[in-house]
Amino acid sequence: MLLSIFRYIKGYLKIRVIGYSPERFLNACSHRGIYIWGITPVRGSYDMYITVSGFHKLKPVIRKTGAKVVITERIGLPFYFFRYRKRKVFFAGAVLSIALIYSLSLFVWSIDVRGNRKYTDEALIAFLEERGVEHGMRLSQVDCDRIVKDIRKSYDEIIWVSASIEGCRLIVQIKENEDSKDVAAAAGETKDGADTGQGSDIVADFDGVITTMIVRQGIPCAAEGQEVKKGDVLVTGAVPVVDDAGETTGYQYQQSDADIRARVSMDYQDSCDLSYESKEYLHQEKEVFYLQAGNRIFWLGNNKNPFPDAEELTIQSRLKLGRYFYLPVSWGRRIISPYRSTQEKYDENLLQTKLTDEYRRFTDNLAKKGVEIIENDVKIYTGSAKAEAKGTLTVITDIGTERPTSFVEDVTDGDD
Amino acid sequence: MREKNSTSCEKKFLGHVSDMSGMPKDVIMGAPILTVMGQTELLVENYRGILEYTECIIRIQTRIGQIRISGRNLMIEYYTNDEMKITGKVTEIKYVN
Repeated sequence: MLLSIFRYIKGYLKIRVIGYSPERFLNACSHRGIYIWGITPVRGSYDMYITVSGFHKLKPVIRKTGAKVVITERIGLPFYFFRYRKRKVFFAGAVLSIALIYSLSLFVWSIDVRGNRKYTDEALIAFLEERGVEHGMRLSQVDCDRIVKDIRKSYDEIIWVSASIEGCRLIVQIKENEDSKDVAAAAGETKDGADTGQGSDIVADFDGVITTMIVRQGIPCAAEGQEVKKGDVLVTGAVPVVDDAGETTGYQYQQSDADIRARVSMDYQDSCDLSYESKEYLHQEKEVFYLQAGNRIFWLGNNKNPFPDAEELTIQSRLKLGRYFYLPVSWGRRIISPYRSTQEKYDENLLQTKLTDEYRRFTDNLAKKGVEIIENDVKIYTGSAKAEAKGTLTVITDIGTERPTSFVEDVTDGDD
Repeated sequence: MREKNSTSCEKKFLGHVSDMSGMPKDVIMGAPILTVMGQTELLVENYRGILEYTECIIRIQTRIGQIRISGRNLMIEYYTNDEMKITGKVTEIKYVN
């Protein structure tokens, strides 16, 4: 393959050797080091290929062997150029196209973001655009190190970034933190707490009666069976330091950690209108195509909506180069579906099923969160305009949120 | 007749030299090397020249005698001073001394 390309670039000839003994011609050629190939016998003569330089050396061979040599074909780039030497515009076009390809290859035509799960491609590309990295910029202006630093600085959840250029494509590979946010946040809080030396309390986030309490760190301020109000401290992070006499000499601040569950009453309320709007579609859809260039829209047909009640659906596609290089040209169609609107009333059974289903969905969600329902008195009330499901649920749920411990005044200072 | 005898004596002597010294016969005696790939490709080295070439027969002169290659659609892919490559359907390779 490579050899044939070289031959084509240098140019070669197809010749026909006619004579009494063409074999002598072949032997003489090989003896003089003239390279010939593709020798085929054709009715008493031979067709073969020879290089241009080899052909120039043929004269003594022809004289000696008495063979007659006829050029049947000229193949290769030099002959091609010679044949089309008057077609200047064609060659200018060829040169121009090469120059265009070269000049276009100096720009970024595609930005490829890989490895992202939480952040979308669009979000990251928009972020890069804010930093001046966008489609169509010069490849030489792309600073991969800068991109890496900017992303790492702005996104805490991205723990590894690599930016590289492949051809006309900027590839940004990222790795996100796969640990759960809670674990990461907890780790962060512990670290922060340790740094500042400030502890944290656990306070009740709603009223209730504590059912179980397991404290791992901190001093419990409430006991099982005790009723607590919202905002009450359940576990404090200020651990008193006691001397031999049993007097408090100071406080050590810790991050409180406990599992506390409490019996809590919560209100439930849901309502549903007795009447609803029913749509009867008229099956007289109107479809209009359009073309958008920048902010200008060209409608290919009448764009007016003649119907009083209608649903509109617009499907739009945007012209793009590659995957993400969008051009300001889009096209699409607008579909107008008319309908007749009527007010209908729900059947009482249907209404009951609807509210019951909604309530079941609510309780299922609570169960998923680890909330145990021990009592409920939710009832459905049907009025003239709407039906309501309301009542109180008694549940056993986790209670307590963290809050920074307020510093306790130093006891020893007071004594002195 | 005397010349023929002397050539065969020379060949025998060179054969002995090659056997005893362990050097390859193609170097000492100028023996042709034929490399056949399947039935469609044949590479010939150490030859003197072509005597006959048609689509069915190629006769090659070597130092140990003639080699006659028969087949169908035979074609010389390339032909240089050192080696030649024959393609086509080779049916027979015959040494004619």
